[in-house]
Amino acid sequence: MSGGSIALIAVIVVTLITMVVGALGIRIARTPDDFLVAARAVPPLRNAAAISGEYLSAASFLGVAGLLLKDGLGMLWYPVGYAAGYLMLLLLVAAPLRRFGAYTIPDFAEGRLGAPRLRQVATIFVLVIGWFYLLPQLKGAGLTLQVLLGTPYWVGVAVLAVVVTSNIAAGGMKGVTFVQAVQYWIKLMAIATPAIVLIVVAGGLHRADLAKPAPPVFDTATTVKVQATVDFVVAEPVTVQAHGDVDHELVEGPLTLTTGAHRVASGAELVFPAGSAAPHAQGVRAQDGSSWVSPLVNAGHKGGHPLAATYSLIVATFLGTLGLPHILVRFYTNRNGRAARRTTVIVLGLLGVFYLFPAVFAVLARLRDPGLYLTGQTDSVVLVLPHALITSVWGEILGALVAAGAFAAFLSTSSGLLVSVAGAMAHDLLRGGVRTFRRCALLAGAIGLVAGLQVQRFDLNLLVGWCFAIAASTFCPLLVLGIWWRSLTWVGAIAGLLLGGVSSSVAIIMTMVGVGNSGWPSVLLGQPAIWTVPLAFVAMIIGSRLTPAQMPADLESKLLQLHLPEALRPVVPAAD
Amino acid sequence: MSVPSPPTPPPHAQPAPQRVVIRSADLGQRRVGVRGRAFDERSEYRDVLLHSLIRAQFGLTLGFIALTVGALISLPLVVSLMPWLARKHVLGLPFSLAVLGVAVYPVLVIIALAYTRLAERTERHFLDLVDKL
Repeated sequence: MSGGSIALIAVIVVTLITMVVGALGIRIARTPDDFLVAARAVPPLRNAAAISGEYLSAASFLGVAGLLLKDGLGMLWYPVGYAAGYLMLLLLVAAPLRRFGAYTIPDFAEGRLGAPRLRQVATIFVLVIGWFYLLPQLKGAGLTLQVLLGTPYWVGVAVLAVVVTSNIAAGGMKGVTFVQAVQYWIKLMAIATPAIVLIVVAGGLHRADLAKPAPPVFDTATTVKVQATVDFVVAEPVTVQAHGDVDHELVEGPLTLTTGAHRVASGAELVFPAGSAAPHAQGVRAQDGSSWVSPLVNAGHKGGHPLAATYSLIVATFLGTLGLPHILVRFYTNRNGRAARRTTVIVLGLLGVFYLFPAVFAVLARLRDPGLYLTGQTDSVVLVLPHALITSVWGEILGALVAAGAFAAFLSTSSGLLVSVAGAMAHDLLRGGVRTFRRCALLAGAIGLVAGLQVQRFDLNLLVGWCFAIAASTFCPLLVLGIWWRSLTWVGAIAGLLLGGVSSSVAIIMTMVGVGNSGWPSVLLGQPAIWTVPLAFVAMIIGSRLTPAQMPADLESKLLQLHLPEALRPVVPAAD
Repeated sequence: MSVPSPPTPPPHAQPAPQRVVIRSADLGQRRVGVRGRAFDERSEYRDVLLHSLIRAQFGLTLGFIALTVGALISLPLVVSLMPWLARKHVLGLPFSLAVLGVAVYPVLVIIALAYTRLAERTERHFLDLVDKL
């Protein structure tokens, strides 16, 4: 049996598990409460596994290792920030948000500050962040099936969109909570097993001399198969065995690649001799060892301002998590404020365990499989490395396991996103019930499918990093000030949401279309959180100070609701 | 040997018991009765008490943010001042990998556990205070 078909079976099994476990939830899901927040009675460990399962997306499962391989260990700030975001969430919002007892962020905004217009503005940003975050998941699915099975990009996108949309429309959130708790464990196993096996096969990481002042080399004679036509740069002349279309000529046999740019067409194979330096695809920066091991973002990037870039990434990821709507909606499924805190601590532990492993793939690939720098497919390193380093059938089996984990990642994150987007449409915009929710899920899935087909060329982690920047510049100040600052008014909140949201979105769109590619503009536009987050906070504070009359009349009872410990709460009679 | 079966009461012989729904969410709130009333009735203390609780919790939050900043966020600054640090090895791993790839996660969990303990203690003290009033 070929590697492709083992992988296909693994992906189908994970998809079936998702649908079956989701279907088990259908019998319980009946009321809008069930659909949106799983009737608020999920115990902390399962809820924590579900939150982690939902959170570990394509960006974490594939993107982190790819980014580390491509840009160096400074990119470890991405997973560190993704995890540390939960510490900020714990410190600033977890318990009060749960105690306030609203379903969604727009619910919180209107409940705390009392203005329907604020709810509408907040809903718009829930939709923006949700759909934006959905795109990298769909891209990941397209890429995974392309790498494993050779299907066209749109196949993976369509499969993911259809499975997730039908699952959500049928079961809502109750089913999703079980599915995601299961998927955390699938993902952990799928990344930990190959990582540990690869460390053993490679003879340990401790011998790795990564910091030597030279670009990566092929340690043995290596065949690089090119799946998609790529332009690459050769630093020093090298004679390879070529089979296929190189520089627009069909070559069979030895070929000397001169220093400079070359193009190799899809389907071609190049065999590099042992000890030769690995060429790099256009757009992949060749780095020597000492800048690759630097713990700063953009190290070794001329005019990259590593310190500023690192801090901007830290601001976006540390503060972005607590503004992600699909994560926050999960906190209402905790029993009470104390359970919300405990859940968050467990999440931090579960994420910490998971994030030990992506770096293993990046380090081993740099040492043993630098052909990925040539093809530029660094995002697929987790998928291809087991197969590249282990030639027996076990390499295929580990590759299939990774593929299953990757698909679990796309399925669970897009499920959570779709619940949050469909919930925002049905609950906040249309004020409908279960039927409206189902219809909105179908519509939201269709929109995601169409948009997902357009993002084939964007980097996984860049797309996700931008969502964090927008979330950090909008909902983070809204929640932090709404919970801890009594003088916040709805006018100030809208001013901050618009200023932070629009400025970060504009900066990101400018980067996407290629404005400001070097120096300070690339840092401040490509990673805007460092200035858009303070801007949003200042706008909310000034806006509120100018409109003190707009403070809600029953401010004290709102604060009571946010901060009063459970033991003092009046018993709310059960609704049923 | 025959065991006498327990007598089955005839259907509808006695009024059906009142159906009571107990949600698990209510179980953590069984002391609500006494304290909740005390808190609501003394509304002249209510706002003062509440603001003291919010101040205490926010102070705790700020302290822990400062701790996190000290532990983690100072790292890029330290490394850019002492670039030789990045070329060191810790337990056979490159410095960046050892610190940002491994050591940072237990530190985050410890900070989170410590905060949760202290936040719950603040709430217990608050409840004791309310009880005394």
